[in-house]
Amino acid sequence: MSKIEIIDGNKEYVKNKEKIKILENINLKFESGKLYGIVGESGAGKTTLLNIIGTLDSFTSGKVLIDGQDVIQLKEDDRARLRMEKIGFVFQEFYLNPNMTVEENIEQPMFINEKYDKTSRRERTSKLIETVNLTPRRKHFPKELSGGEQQRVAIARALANEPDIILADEPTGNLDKENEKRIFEMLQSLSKGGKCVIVVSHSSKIEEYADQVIKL
Amino acid sequence: MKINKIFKISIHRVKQNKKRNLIIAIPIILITILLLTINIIQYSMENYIKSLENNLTMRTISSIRYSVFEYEEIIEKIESIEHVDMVIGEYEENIYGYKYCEQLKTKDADGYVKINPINTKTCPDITNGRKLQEDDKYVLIIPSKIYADSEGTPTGFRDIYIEKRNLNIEYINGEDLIGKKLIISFEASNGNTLEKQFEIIGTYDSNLYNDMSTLYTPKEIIKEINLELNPDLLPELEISVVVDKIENVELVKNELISKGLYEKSAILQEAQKGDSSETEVNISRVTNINVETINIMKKLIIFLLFASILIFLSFLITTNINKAYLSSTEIGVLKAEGYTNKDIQKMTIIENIIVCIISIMVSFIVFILIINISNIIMDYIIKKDTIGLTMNEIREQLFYIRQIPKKINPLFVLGISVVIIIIEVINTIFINKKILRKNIRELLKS
Amino acid sequence: MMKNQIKSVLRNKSNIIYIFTFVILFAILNVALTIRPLVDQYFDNIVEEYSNTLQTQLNKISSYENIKIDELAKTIQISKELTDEQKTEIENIKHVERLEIQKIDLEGEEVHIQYLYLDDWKNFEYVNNRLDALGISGSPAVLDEQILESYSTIRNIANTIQYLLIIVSLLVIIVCCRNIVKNEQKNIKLLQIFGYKKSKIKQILFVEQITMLIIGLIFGIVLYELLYFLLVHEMLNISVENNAVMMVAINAIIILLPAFLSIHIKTLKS
Repeated sequence: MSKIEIIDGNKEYVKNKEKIKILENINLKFESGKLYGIVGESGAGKTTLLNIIGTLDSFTSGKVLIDGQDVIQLKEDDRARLRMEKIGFVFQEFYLNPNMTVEENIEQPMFINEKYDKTSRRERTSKLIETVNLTPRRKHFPKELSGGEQQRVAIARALANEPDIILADEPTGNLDKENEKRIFEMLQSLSKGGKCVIVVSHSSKIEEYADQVIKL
Repeated sequence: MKINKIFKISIHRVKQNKKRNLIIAIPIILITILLLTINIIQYSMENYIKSLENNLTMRTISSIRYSVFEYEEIIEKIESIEHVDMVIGEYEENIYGYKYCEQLKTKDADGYVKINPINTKTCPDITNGRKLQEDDKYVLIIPSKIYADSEGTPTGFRDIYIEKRNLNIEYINGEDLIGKKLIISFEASNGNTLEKQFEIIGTYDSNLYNDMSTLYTPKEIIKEINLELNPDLLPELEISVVVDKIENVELVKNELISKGLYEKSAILQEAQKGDSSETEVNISRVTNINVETINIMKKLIIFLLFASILIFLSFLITTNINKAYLSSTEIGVLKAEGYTNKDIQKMTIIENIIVCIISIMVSFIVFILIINISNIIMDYIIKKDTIGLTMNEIREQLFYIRQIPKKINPLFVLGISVVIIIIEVINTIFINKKILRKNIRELLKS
Repeated sequence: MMKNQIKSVLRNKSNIIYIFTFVILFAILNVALTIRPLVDQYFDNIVEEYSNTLQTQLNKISSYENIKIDELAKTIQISKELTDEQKTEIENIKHVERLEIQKIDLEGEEVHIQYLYLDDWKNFEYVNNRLDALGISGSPAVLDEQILESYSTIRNIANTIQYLLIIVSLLVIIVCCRNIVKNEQKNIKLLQIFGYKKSKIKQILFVEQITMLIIGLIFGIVLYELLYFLLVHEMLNISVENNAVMMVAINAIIILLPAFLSIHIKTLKS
């Protein structure tokens, strides 16, 4: 069974009585342990597809199965639970809380996970900070970090609840070449570690790291 | 950039950023409505204070006894005291007997009136017609709304409400009687009757004076009628003194005491029988209560204004900062496009001024709507038959509130509009200065 | 979790400015709640002074020795002869302590006067209205009618000011709280993405708001005490006992209600 399966996915918007088709007849399968790159021109629907997979949005018609479960049928609270347990997000603009330190930002998703108590949460946070090589900066605020460092914090946060799926929307869009390389390497190592990593990117570098590139 | 271009861009931004402009529009609307409400409260309080000051009873020192042989001398002594407007002898104060006027009778009013003395100094403020003149004899100054009824001697709206619990009372419009003649019949307890014709020369505001059945005529006429009606009247033994202002009552009283003309009430006279060397009992706190009342009322309204302005200022500053914070990215983009700091300042100021003006206009409309709707609701409750004393008391309170004139003073309106706009401009300038100090990158990131 | 969220909220400079607004609002609100007790105390002082002055004078006269003015100040005098039924009805009126018939020797004559003793002179208007409804007219035995009328007017104005400022403070705080939540939209969306349920997010927002409001309240109370000391104690030279229960209740409502009303959040598209 595939980790994620999309069956006959269609997405359209209606604006001023005009139907605008974003995605048409999408049929895709994503497996664990692989890095997928989604590429395409602007307006092709890459971010929309990623949001739908991450249950932030839904198809007009079609199914999204995660571990065999149709997520569109789920209630709001169940979808929230699914996101908490199985999905980690990384965004182009990082979306770190500017009023929280590095460790507070990484800790945030773990508070609602019953798996972690105070001690195990602290331990895991320290481990994640170490993984992204930001231990000396743990008490710093996002505005005191560089773009690359902020994105590493965002990745560490995305990994907080040990999700099986990582969705990254233009994770290197705001970064320089050196940091871009570091981030892609990090994502690749996550996929090799058994996670299903889906990356939307404009960068040509994605083809170097991805196991499969999907063009929309 | 030219100012007319900036103006056009500002108008465009106002249309574009409706949601963001609501952040500063809402406090402006709230505070304008609050200030208008305070204005009404202030206006009704000023009216109440005026009615206290106008009320002759409040500034009359009565029951001054004197020996019958010293009458002329006493009058002279009293009239020489500063702030004394009128000295009224016992038989100039009130006509002893019933006073009835057929022409003032209605389905609700039995036609009985009160007649009070005046002279040229103590004439009430006239709303229509003319004031009393030296050579006036059988003239009357009447209420603008007349309800001539003896039952419970109602003197104003409140008393009428308590007596009748009904709003559909037929009043007579005083202004319609100016220049006309009224025939008043007098009947003394000894059975003597008399009829006199009076000319109506003016009306006074029945609302302001809280009186709808008192007619005013020169004090000499009252004495004349008394002597005609009761030829066997005993020599006058009491004098009343009308003071020009309520705050001078104490002064005049002390002056009368020092001249040995003022005697205390019976209970106090009794109290001082044992000790004649005792100094004057000072109950001035009570007799001066009206002045203190007025002062307290003024202090309360100042507090309310002060509190409102403070709330408004802090709220407006907060919301302006909030709006500016939300606009940071936009300002960054404008700077990146080549707008100077001055351009951006001018644009923001004009934008905020437009929002102010629109908000103030909306406030007035909302305020007028609130007043009209609350008037309708109050009228409905007042006219409903109610059960229970508490509900009746509420109706009474609402009736009283309903009578408060809800005027919007145009000068006040202009004043608060200008003040709000000035505060908003100052606010904008200071807040923008802080934001414009940041570089473009910081602004775009925020 | 709450600790981190609250820390994050308090580190946000724009929220600090809102707390500043709350401080001023709570200070003004609590001053407004003090106006009515102040007015009551002020007039109580007047009545006490009046009574004491009269009492001092009357004590010198042996025939008036037994008359206690401070009690008579809280008394309505009824000259009309009352039936037993009326007496029972009157004694059942709220604020009425007892009905007494006293014989007074006035200039050699024995006069019977019925005195209605109230718990407080300030309830005169209330009791008088009920007597009016029973067709009985009463007048204050000793107290000047001017005091009663003045008190009634000023009390009404004080009440109006009190209610007006409570409503305005409430409205302003509601709008502030809504603005605070609007400013948190990004964070709210982020929490939803992490998998926080709507109810949990509402809980977090509620606690954040309450924290800010309580901080505002605490400093507001400090400011209020300062203003009270300066204005009331020093300038007016009156000390007043506030109705603590009422103040706590009103402050609690003003904290809880806006927090409740502001925590509506839109969920992600489903």
